[in-house]
Amino acid sequence: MNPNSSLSADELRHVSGSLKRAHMSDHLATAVFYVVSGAFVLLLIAFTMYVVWGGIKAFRPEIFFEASGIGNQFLTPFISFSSLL
Amino acid sequence: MLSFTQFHHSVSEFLFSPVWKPTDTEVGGGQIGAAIYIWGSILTCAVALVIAIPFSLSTAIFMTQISPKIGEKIIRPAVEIFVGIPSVVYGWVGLVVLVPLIQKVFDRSHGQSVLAAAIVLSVMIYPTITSVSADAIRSVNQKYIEGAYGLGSTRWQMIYKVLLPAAMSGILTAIVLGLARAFGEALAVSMVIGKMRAFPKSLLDPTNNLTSAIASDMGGAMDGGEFNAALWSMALLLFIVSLLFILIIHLIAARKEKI
Repeated sequence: MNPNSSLSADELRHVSGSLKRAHMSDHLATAVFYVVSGAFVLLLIAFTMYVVWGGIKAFRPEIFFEASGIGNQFLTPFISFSSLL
Repeated sequence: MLSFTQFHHSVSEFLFSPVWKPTDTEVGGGQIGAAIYIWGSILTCAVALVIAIPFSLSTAIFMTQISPKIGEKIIRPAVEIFVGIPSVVYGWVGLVVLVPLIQKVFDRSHGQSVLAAAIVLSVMIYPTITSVSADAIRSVNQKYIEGAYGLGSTRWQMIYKVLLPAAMSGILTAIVLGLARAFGEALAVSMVIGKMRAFPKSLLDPTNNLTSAIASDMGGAMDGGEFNAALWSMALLLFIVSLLFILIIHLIAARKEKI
């Protein structure tokens, strides 16, 4: 482009329109990225809270020690020793 | 291999026939068409990728370009937590939350479906694709980014015209890694896929896949029998597919080095 030439009013309008569109799409994309990432964090919080809350509600200390409990599943010396190995 | 050598089944029968009636004897004579399982695996993985890729890429871009501070302080640790959650927990939450939700929303008699399996898988592969893509985006030469800004690009123009093309091989590697994880996942999928031996007519129909079939049937199959051999053939197929994925990753990496 010739540096001495100036833009006509039509050209200026066109440039300013495309700049506006570029800025609009930039803002929109930024908003989408924020929403998606926020949704991910919310999903993680919901997921974790669901599992933790479900676990706390059903938790009784006896489940580690009673015969039908879960204690033997991870307190067995054999399993602990094997996993350490 | 015994399916093809000892029991004389053809590879085309195994890959393309939907009739799965192996006998649990050493004599054989049954049919070992695994097409339903293969299609189930492919379909669930494809849908999972379609769901996961936009979210993963958006998160990767957000944590590297839009807000690196929040990305480093919140999103990255959160992604790492997602990686560490055992697959049985994903499957269990899918079974008690997602399956009833799908049943209710779509007014179906059952919620176990391809869609449920795909959503669970997409959540499972999301951290893999996100973290590897974020590393690929971070490794893009800063000069490209500065050049794009210097030419007057907005951030979004810089991202989709410069950053994503420059990081494409790393992103493809991330997607293939995610796909490999999805293809090999057994437990979580088997809890929500419905384990029905039929081609799904829609995403809301139940079906079965390779890993679920192996996991659920291997314990009851007689050693040396046709059924057992057919399950081993499925395992071989999974192994070959995994090798293919690794090969693809190497090819992408080789192409990247060339560029």
